[in-house]
Order: sequence, then structure tokens, then C-alpha cells
Amino acid sequence: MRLLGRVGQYVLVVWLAFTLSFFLLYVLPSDAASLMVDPTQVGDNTETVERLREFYGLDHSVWHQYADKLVGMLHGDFGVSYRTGQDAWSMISAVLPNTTLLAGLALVLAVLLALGVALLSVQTAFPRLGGLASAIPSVAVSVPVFLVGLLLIHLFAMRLGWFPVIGGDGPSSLVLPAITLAVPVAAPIAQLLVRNLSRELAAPYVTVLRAQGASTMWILRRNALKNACLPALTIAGLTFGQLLAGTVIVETVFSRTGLGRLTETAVRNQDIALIQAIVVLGAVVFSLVNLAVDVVYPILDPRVKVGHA
Amino acid sequence: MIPILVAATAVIALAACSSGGATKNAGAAVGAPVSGGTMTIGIQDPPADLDPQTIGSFSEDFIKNNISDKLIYQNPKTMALEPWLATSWTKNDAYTEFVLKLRTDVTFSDGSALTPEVVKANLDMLAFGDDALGVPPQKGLLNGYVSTEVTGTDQITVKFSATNTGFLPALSGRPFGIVGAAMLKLSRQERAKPQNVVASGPFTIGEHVYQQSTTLKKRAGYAWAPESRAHKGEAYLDAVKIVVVPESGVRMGALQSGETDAITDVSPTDEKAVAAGGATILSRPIPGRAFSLDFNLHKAPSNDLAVRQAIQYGWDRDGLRKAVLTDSYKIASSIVPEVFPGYADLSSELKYDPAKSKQILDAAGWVPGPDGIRAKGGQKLSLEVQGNQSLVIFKPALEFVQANLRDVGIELKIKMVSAADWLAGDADPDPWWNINAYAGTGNDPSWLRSLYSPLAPANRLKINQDTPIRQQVTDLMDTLVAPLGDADRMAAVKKVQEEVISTYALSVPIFTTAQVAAASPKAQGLAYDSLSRLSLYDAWLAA
Repeated sequence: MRLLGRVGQYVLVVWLAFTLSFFLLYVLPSDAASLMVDPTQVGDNTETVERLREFYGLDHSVWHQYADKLVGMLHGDFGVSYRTGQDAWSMISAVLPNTTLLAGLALVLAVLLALGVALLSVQTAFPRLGGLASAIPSVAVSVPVFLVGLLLIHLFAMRLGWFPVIGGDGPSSLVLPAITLAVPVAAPIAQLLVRNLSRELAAPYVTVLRAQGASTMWILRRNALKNACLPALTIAGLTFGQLLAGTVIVETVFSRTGLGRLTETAVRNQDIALIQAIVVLGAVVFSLVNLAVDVVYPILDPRVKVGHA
Repeated sequence: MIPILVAATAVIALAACSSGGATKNAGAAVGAPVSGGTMTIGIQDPPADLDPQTIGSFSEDFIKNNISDKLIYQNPKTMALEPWLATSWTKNDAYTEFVLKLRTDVTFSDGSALTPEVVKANLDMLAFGDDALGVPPQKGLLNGYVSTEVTGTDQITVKFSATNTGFLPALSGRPFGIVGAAMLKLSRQERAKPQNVVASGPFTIGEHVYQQSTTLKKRAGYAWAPESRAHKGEAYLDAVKIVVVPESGVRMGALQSGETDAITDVSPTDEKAVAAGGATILSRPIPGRAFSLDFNLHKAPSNDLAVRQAIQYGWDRDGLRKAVLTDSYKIASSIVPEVFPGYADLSSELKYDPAKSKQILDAAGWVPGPDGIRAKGGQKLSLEVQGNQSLVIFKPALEFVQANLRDVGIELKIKMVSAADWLAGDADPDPWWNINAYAGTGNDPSWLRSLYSPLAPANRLKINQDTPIRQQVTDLMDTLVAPLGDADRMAAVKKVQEEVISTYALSVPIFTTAQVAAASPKAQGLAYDSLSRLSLYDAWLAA
């Protein structure tokens, strides 16, 4: 029953995302029809734009257009992109594998990076190195993604020639983008892990274990790491958002096709059908991720029960 | 934290060095053109709609021009109209009836033949559009179109209800690519899909992945290139792979690493580095209207002739050239660039003379205030500027002019707007700005009327019924579309430029925009068409 309530909440989230994005696009000063006419061709395009507006139904009232879109969406029909003439869903599904692969790889890298940094920060052999490691996440959080991307391209593609400068072909073209995307995603996870690990290691049960002769590694492996990792799950939704936002920049810098690039150009062209489809897809996945966390968390940590958190 | 920052700075410095002058290319002698090979070209914006009968982005027009032919060819060197799919043409004195003879040996990419009937269907579609198919008409360019009649096995007669001096030049430009009959049956949306394009150009569209790449393939048997092209017959290249590289620095890197043979949209800040890397800069002014300050004549203080003239003399051309521009861009010597038909050199009028600027303002009663900005009758000499930001170089150029004008006591308040927002406010009868700063593309003088005439739909100078010079400007601009002989017409175009600048100071031209590409030593024969879009027909790959 509680789960059903959660599902209801997420349906509301998806609807709100759809509605908000529609009205945001609607209040912008120009529309897709006028953007289909080249602004440098400043001739007399008034009638051309008018006829395009009629054809695409942009001359209808805002509520009429909203109702049309909503009904379409409920039938799984988001309409056709103004720019390409293609069905919005087919455009998304064409690039989705690219982005999924990139994001998946980046996530794995991010988790490994975060774990590595966190473990380095609590090791006791080299205290200065530990201090440095614990500072990395806050630096990484504030470095812009495009800068990381450009630096990597300049160094490893242009200068050393290890990877291609552009392109989306082959596994080697995936390495630099995945690293670039992993940095901003890893940073908050690492921040959380560093904080939680130091707290766990200072906890009384660790003192007891140490007194019994357990090594730091043993404590980490058997107890502290597991306890410290659990709260990281709660930021899964946040991580997902960061992955999506990151792909917009990473895919542009690395000249890759994907959902991020598609989003960026769709917004720039006010390609309403495509934007709406992307927003709804994003909201649905976001909701599913959070729903999954809601379901999985109490299983991993019996102290937490849905509704009593 | 500090070591990381130091390391990062070092990497940036290294990267900057590497893009500076590491791979200077020895200028080897280039032999005769050879056929074959695939040229790779990096572009900025992803092409989407490749219908030759829509007006699109630079990258889209670039591709459309290479896959479709036009009835008339405008020679980019002379800007004269030459035969292409039409072998000859005549017009009556009133510019209302045009007879065009057509080639009989042309076929479209689907094998169908170019016939007078197909050309008629093309022109009808362009003029009237088709509501059921969602295809809009191109009214602005075909004003007064009545009909096209097939008047022979190789001849059509096009009739207009009123004078249309721009018709023949329009046939050589956008969006007049002639398409096959099969394409004319498709809806607007189907036509937008690259695989549905049927045209007669030297290349056809192969694989197209949106936002990634578009491959053009040589059209076998192509034999109808304009006479003045560098060669005849098929294109030299077997294929051209056009890849989308949105980031300008990465585009530059792709050229240097050899992943692309040429790139387009080279930004002014990158030109030096690209040239130092061994590439050749290819630039051509974009015919049309120079990037200029257009005044709102409906609003104070831009309705004051003295203010407009003071702005004309108040900024340093040479300084702007050195500080902001590269060799690819030229300080404007008229409202149109030298390549524009009927261009008049007005550089003697368009010069920096701050003393004269101040003198004009003094005489008109604008006296310097305590902050240096002049005022008259309680009104500050402050002008709101709307700047179109379709090119990155526009903003620094405006800021340079702004700093100069401050010294003579004129304040500019600049607000840059996106191309979309600029267009949306275009026809506003009472906009917020005093000055509208933008550039435009056009290949014929009649097009200038749509920018300056109060009778044009947008009435861009906001010349209202109560503007004293309304009638004079209307009459002046109407000479651009009057049925005059060629010589008288060019004289009229010159007069328009003189009066716009000297008599009325309607516009202060700043610099002429340009399209800038870069080619590696391998990429030979790349050239620009009359609208400064890259042409691939004569291009070839050196070994």
C-alpha cells in the first residue's frame, strides 16, 4: 500500500515535469516555426513562418496545444521533431545505447574512483597522503566538466595521440569521455564515503575491534566499509541526475552522439516534441531509480522500513 | 590542493604550446587535380533538414548546395548570373515575364529527367506551398508570382503580376535547389529526412547519422556543371565525410591530428593557431548586409540625424581592425561588402573623426554633462543597443565602438540577444532599442529593400507615418525593385548606399562578416559559392 503511494507520487513527478517543461517552452519569445527560418536571411519571411505555425498547430491556444501533447504522451506519441522530420522516440532510441554505455562505464569508474580516494584518505601509513586524498573530492566537485574534457583531449588525444580527438566509433573513443564524466559523479560519492568512513573508524565498535587486535584493513573489509557505503545509496538519484547533466557537456566536447547532445540541440531549436520526450523519459527513469532505492534499502538495512525512515 | 592546481596549469600550458607551432608544414608543390578518395570535413552545427528548398543553417546550406543544382549560377568571382540548368533566359522590360531555356540532358539522382514540367512544379511549390503537405511558400522571394507555363520541349515562361527584379538572382540562391518530381509529392516532414532528397547535384547523400556525420557520394555521370567551374564532368572526390565537431578547440585539434582534412567555422581567436599548424585559412565575405548599427527612427535620441552622424564619425576603424578583427574580416566601406552587386566604396565618408563628431553634437545642442555623457533639454545622450549574437565576434566589436563613443560623449547600453530572440522581436513596431546591430545574407540589391523600406513587413528602421523622411526613404528603396536597365539599376544601388550613409545616416556599417574555413595541405580545390558556402565540386585530395 505504501509502495503504491510512492508510485502515485512518482506519476505526479512525471506529470509535473511534463507540464512545467511545456509551459517554460511556451513562454519563450520565439517558437519552432520562426526558428526554422534562417535569422540571417532577414527578408520577408512573415508568411512562411505563419504557414509553418499553422501546419505544426503552433497557432492554437496554449491549452489546446497542451491538451494535444498530453493526450499524445499518454498514447506514447510525442510527435515529430521539427528539425529532422523524425519521430521523437525513434530519435531518442537511436542514441540511447550510446549514452547508456557511456553513463554505465562512467558510473563504474566513478564508484571505483570514489572508493579508491576514500580508502586512501583513511589509510594510516602516510597521514599526509591521506589528508591530500580527502581534499580531492571537494576540488573535483568544483572543476568544470568541460575543462576536464578539454584537458584530457589536449593531453591524451592531440599531444600523445593515444586516443582519437573526435568520434563515437570503437572502444578507444569511449575512454576519455567516460573518465571525464566519472569525475563529477565520483566527487559527491567520495565526499560521502570519506566522511562516513572516518566516522565509522572513530566509532566505539572499531575501538573495541582494534583492542581485540584487528587490523585497519580487516575492520574496513568486515564492518566499516559496509556501514559507510549504505548511505551512499540514498544519493543514487542525485548521481543519476549528475550523469545526465554531465552527458550534455561530455558528448558535446567529445563530438559523440547521445541523449545529452540531443537535449542540448533540441532546447536550442525549441524542438518541443523532442524536448518533451526527453524530459518525460528523464523523469520516468529518475522515478524508477528512486523507487528502486526505496525498495532495496530496507532489504539491505533491516533497521529501515519504508515509511518509518 | 595546490599541487593539483599547479599540475593542471602545467597541462594547459603544454597544450597551448602544442597547438601553437609544433607541426609547421613544408609548402610542397601541389600538382594537377586527381580523382578519388574521401575527404573528411569537420563542421560545427549538426545538419538536420537537407531539403534543398528550405533555408537552413550554414552547415545545412553547405550540404544542400553540393547535392542540388540551380537554374542559374551566380559566379562567386564576378557575382554575374551564368547558365546552369537553364541554358539561357530573357525578360521583358517590366520584369514581369521571364522565358527560360532548359538543359535537356540532366537527370535527378533517382534517374528521372529534368523536364520543363518538373521545373514548373518546383516553382509552383516554392511560390504557393502546399497546405496539405505542410510545405510553406517562399513568398518573400517570389512576390507577385502568377504562374509558370511550359512553352516548349525545353522552355518555360514565368509570369508575375508586378515587377520582380529579384527573380533571376533569387533562382541562383537559397532555397531554389531544383528537386525531382518524387520529392515534390512528400510532406514537409518527409522532405526533411535526408534519405528522401532527390536532386541533380554532383553529390548524393549516403549515410546520415544525426549529430554525428553525413556522407556525400559522388554522382556518377554528372555532366552539367556551370561553364566557369574549374573542371567539367564528375566531381573529383569519391566521397566526402562531413563530421559534426561542436567544440571549436576540438575541431582545431581534429584538423591538426589529421582526423579531418578541413574544418569550417574557424573562430577569429583560433585563426592564428590554425595557420601556424600548417593549415590554409579559406575565407570569403558573406554577401549581404555588413554588421551594422541600424537606427530606430521612431525613438529619441536615435531619431536625431546629428546623433546618428556623430556615431558614424565617432569610432576608430583602424583600432577595431587591430584589436578585434582578423584578416578574414574587413572594416565596412559601405553597408554591403565588395562582392555585392552594385557595391559603392564610401570609405571616404566612413572614417574616424572624433573632432567632427564632437562638433556635430555641439552644433545640435548636445552639451557634455558632469560624467562626460552629453545631454540636451534634460535628456541624456544614451542609446540602447540590441546586438544579435549569431557570431561571437559581434559582442567585442560592439564593445570597442562603445568605448570610443564614450569619449565623444555618447553612451551605448548593449544587450546581446540570441538569434531566436532577435528574430522574435523583429517586427515589433515600437521596440525598446535605439540601435539594432545585426548582419544579413543576400545576393541581390532588391533584398536591401526588405531591410530599409518602411513598406517592408518588418519596417526595421521603424519609420512611421509621422517620420519626416518617410516618403524619401520609401521612394529611394523602391528604386531597388524598379524595372530599370542593368546599368541604371546598378546606379540606383550605388545611390541607395550613398543616401543610407551620407544623407540620412540610417545605418552605420562596422565590418563585413565572413565565412572562415581551414584546409590541411591535403585538401585542395575547396572554394566558396556566391553565398559563401563551401563548394566541393572542384575539391580533391593531394597525396
